[in-house]
Amino acid sequence: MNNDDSPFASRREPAGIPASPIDLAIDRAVRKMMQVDPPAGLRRRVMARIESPPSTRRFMDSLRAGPPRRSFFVPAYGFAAAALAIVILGVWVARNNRAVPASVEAPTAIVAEKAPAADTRIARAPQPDAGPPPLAERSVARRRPGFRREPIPMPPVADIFGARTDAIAAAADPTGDAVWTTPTTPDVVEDNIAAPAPLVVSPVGVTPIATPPIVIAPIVVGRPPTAPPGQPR
Amino acid sequence: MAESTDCVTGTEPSAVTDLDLVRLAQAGDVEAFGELVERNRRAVFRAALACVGSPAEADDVAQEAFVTAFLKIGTFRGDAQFRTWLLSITWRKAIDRRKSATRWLRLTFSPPRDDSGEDNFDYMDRIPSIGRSQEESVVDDELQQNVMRLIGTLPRKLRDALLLAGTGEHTYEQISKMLGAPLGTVKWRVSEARRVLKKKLTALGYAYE
Repeated sequence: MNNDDSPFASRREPAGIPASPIDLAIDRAVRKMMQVDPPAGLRRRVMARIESPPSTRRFMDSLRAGPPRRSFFVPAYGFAAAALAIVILGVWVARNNRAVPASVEAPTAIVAEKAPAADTRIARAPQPDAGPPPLAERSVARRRPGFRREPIPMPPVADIFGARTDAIAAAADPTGDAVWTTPTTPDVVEDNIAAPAPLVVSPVGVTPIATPPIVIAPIVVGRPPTAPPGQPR
Repeated sequence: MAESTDCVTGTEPSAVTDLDLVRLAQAGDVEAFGELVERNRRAVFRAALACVGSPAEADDVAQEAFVTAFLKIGTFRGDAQFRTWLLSITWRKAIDRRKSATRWLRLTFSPPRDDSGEDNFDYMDRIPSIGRSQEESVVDDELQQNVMRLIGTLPRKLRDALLLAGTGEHTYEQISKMLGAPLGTVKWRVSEARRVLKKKLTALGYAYE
């Protein structure tokens, strides 16, 4: 090999100074990697490709080279983009098709079948016989055989303010029964510690309001009068 | 311009220059082009090898480069050396091969060789070993293996320049034309590649001097 013509050959150490082992190792490694002879028959293969008819050469080249690289290079990015799009679409579809709860009805109690149900049955309000339970209820019961769904019985709602009457209370009562009076005896005071103080009404007197007369000063044309020193203008 | 008459096959320099052969090939003489192939096959193959790293792929690239050169030889005007023109075609073909999708897929789905984070450069397994002298010790052999592994981890620009300079077939001017970089830049890249290699080897525990 003609190593003396290579750029590496021009990089020589000065006379008397040995090259470092690392430099020598680098040179040796690069030469070992690069100074390889081509496989035998390169000229013959090239000439065979050149001398074959153009149509045959094109066909044989396509067979040897496989798919055209230039046209395949661009779709490689297309394939990658398509794969990415499929992954994103799959995640989106999976999110949207996530299992929806079977029933969105009002929450119902899940009562163990073996638990004593005496208390709930006593408090249960009379309900009309509605026949078989709703479909959702049955399906839940089928899926979970150890439990059954049962609505919580609630008593009928009564008037929380008591029975309605036509009587009018407080200050509008002409009889005065609804108005408390000031307690006077100690035993009554002890029983009514939080009683309100008596209401005392004092008469309001009317006093005429005196207004001072309005005096209009005469208008003087010319320089404004100077304020005496020490007074604001 | 004087044409190169170097005979890279190791035989006597031929009296027929490359330019003469080019003129004959341009006139349709296929055998003249065959002689050009014979004269430049090693330089073309090694340039492709420096780029793609695999002898098999380098052989494919060399064939494609020669066929392309034959098809376009009518456009060669003789402004530069034929070998420089041919090496430029070779380097473009090799870059195309290095960027091809099939190669990318092969390297992507093959098991990684090291954890350096750089692309795989498979010289070590594919290039047949050449004869070694007796005085090369086991330590030197290990050092060489480490150097070859670290060359594969160099940045591509540094690695291309270093390997092309190490082929023994290309001058700095030819490398400069191939890489499309100024001559000083190519020299700096070779020097920088060596400096990086030394630094990495020192980090591995090898003495600098």
